[in-house]
Amino acid sequence: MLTKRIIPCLDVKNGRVVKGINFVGLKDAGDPVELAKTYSENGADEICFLDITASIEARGALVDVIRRTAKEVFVPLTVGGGVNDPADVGELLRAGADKVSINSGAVRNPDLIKQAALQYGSQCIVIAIDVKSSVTKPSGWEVFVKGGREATGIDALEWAEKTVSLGAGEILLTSMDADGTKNGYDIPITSMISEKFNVPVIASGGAGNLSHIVDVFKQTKADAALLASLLHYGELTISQIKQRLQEEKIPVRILKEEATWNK
Amino acid sequence: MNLTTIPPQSLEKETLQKHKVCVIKSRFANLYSVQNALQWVGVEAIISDSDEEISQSDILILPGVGSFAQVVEELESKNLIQIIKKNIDLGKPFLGICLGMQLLFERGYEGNKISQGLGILQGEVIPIPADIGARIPHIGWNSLKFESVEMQKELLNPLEESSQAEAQVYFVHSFYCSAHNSSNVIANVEIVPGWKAPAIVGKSNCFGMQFHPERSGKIGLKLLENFLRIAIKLQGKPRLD
Repeated sequence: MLTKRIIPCLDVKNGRVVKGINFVGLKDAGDPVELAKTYSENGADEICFLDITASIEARGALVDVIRRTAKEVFVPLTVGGGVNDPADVGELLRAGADKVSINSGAVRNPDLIKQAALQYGSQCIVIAIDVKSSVTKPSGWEVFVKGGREATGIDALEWAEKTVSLGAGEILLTSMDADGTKNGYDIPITSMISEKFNVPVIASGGAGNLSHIVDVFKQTKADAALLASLLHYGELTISQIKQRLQEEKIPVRILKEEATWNK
Repeated sequence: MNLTTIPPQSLEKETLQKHKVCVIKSRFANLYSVQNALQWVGVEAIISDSDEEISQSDILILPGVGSFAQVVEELESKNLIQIIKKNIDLGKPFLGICLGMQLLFERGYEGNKISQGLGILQGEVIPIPADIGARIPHIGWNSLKFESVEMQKELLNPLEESSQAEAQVYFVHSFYCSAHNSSNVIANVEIVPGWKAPAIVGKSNCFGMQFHPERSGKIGLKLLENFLRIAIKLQGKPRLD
């Protein structure tokens, strides 16, 4: 049975992890490669790097991080941040990313989704959609860009539909209302988007405890949950999450004896 | 599968290293992920699209992502379809990963046209039906359901038998291989409960994995390593039809 995925997301700036990481036993808690490796050994189903530098000069540092990660981490790697044209997608994929997440670049130029999907296949094109509730929009949610700072005037449901029709292979949905609150995922919008479309949906923003993760899988059709601070600060471990999900009869991937294999 | 069973773990890392492994180069492949995974299991593979280098290698691996039509077109433009077929016919062990597995079949319908595959296995590559209630693409970790106990043991050794039955690997695909000959199917995957698609196929010296062993954690690396063990046993043997 296809399992629900748990995806740690690391914010990377100039090749280093930003936001405090509170991990015991790491030589260098700011090194994205070492963190990705630790998470994958702990059972992460996928790793996500979000480059928040978004400047051309810092691109080299990101590509280097991806390259080093791909040598040591053997679970899928999704990379996003500052992707503006199909060449950016190609560069990240060649460095070792399995999927590329596009956000503002797609809102500015929706044709980018089509071009990237045609050239590299829908399976590696993740469209990141940041939304906030809005009474003026028909669906009740509006798309934001630039990390939630800029309103686009676009209806969230309409935009999701467009991205899917242009070739999005997956939707990474972040509720800016829920993000950082630790009050739980935004169930209504996650439910709406995951019910409406056939492509996989990754829920993001708001997780504060184990029950929140159970809720997003029980109350919506989300396929994956993205987690950041909850994991980074060591408040929860991936195995605790997986164990709880398993108790709740939600299918997850559990590492067993292979976890102890060395090479 | 008619493979003479060898004692588990009888091939050591040094033996693996002696064999030349070539990852066939195409624009639409995660070449370096596959090369990195091979390096992890102890093999320094080359990446090449040259007839000479491919023909001089002992084991061939064809990874692929993207659409069937596009990849066939690219391989054809470099005469790689002929080169791959020639080497397979000589009995050289071959592994196709993801789209590389799909290319083993006769025809593919992805990319708004019908393209000819390698035709080593009978069947065609068609969309996962929209009416089975699955998410498409089929993305994520799913369990292997082996049809051949013998191959399950060979490919998942040294995993305990109870764990073998639950081995999970990472899939990403929208099309699946509709195999005409069920004896070519080593393992299936249930895309939704009760609806199966081939996950591992094999015939004589040719194997295919629909999932990404190079992205499937330690299980995936073990599957790659065990494929290499099988490949080494098959080396120099004529191809069986």
